[in-house]
Amino acid sequence: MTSAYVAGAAMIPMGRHKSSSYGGLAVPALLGALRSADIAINSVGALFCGHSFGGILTGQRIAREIGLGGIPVINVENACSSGATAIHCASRAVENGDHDVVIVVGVDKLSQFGGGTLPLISEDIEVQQGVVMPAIYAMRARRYMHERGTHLEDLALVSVKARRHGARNPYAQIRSETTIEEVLSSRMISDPLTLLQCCPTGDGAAAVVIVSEAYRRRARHPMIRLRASVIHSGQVEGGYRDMLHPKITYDCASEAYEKAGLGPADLDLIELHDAFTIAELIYYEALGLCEGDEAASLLSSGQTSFGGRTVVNPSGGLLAKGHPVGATGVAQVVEAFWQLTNQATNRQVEDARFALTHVTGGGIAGLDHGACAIHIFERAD
Amino acid sequence: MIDYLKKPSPDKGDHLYPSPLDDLGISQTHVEWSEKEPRLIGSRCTDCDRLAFPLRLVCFECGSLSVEKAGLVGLGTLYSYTKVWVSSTRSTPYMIGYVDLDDGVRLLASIDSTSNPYPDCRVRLDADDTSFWFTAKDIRS
Repeated sequence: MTSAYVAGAAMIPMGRHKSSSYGGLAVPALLGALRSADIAINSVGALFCGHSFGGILTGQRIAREIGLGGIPVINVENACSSGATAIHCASRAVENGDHDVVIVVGVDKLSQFGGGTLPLISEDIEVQQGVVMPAIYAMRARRYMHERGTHLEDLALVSVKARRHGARNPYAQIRSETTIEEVLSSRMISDPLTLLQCCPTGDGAAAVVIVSEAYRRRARHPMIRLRASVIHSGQVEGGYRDMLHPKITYDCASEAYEKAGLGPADLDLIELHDAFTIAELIYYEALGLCEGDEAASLLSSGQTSFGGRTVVNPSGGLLAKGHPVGATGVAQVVEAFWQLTNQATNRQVEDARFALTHVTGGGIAGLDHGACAIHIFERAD
Repeated sequence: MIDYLKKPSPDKGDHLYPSPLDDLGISQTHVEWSEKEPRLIGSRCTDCDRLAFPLRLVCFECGSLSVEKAGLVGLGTLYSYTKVWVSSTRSTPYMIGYVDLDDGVRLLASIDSTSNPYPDCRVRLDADDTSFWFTAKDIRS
């Protein structure tokens, strides 16, 4: 067993790119990551492609664009955790000694569906009853407000912070700030969640190069070390379940902290799954940043923004940066790479040493979340 | 230990084959009537006693295939709900919610928004020929 390192990273700005195919979205990210790692195409031992809506052989349709073939190409689908799951598989392959250099691409093109909510599986009983992803989070938000006494303004503040961070990020889909009032008066999607409390629909691609310890010793430029890579799936529950306590994230995070040998207080930055405003408050608790009931105060204290103790979503998160499903988990690692190698320009978290990335989601009947993937990285000096 | 499904095939002699579950076929109707009161059609596992909605062929608690049909009483508490305003497949707005039935099963169902539901209110099953929904029972003071 060897350690795995991220040696290079790149992404395209998230947004609506209707005239780009999946290959058109992913190739610039892939080439950018190779260049940033100073690695030639023919050194790549395997390609892992995380996506949810690309159709068959998405990885191969990307690889063939640059003449990459013959090597193992593995396509990975795990809803919102697809990209991070691909990183997990890639890093295991490197740690096990299968390859010295692998590349991971995360990509999705949601503009293919027009606007509106994502298509869900029609075989699912809850889909037949009219459930859509915003509705699940909306019900979670209503329950949260009922049990915690939180107000709409507390939810809206999540978007205000996300947009303030995203305004510094040229890769973000939305690069303008917003106010609590603007967030709450935007179009109602599923009450109490308004449009600006939901991540935007868009397209994107991100790529990282993962290398072995042996490869790293021969290289010259800054890298980051993978300290933990943990995947969990949801457990079906037919009875009452606590929608405010996503056991999947609690368990996945505990295991990741244990594997990495550190805790939430050690983290300089976190890229977490803020698909909807309520999610950020729930995940402050689930990732151990605060006790129950304190999430809204933690947010309003400013401690999770620049200058604070742990910057949450310096990239703008899903709410401002965007959430092209398969791309997100890889884009979070791209941000972690830039942050921990001091390349995050005007978004730089000072003296960033440890970063955690977290994706989860994919509601299907009986499971609040289908999958969760957490990674912890360390600056490798 | 999980049983595998055994269905002897007459034309192939005594050899047993795993056979696909007709799970889409069996759960087309969700409501049955008993003395003018609607009940939800669910199932109970005879090995571990787990109740489920809708009707299942395999128990998701223990994996057993000894599952029988069971009527679920249409009374419960509303855990949460939302009015959905955006849909490409149905007319909006419509309200859905998670109902915690008194017998321990949770389900997602249409909620009658005109009955002024609120979190933890009591709800009652209602149905017609084509669909079912829940209505808030009591008035909040």
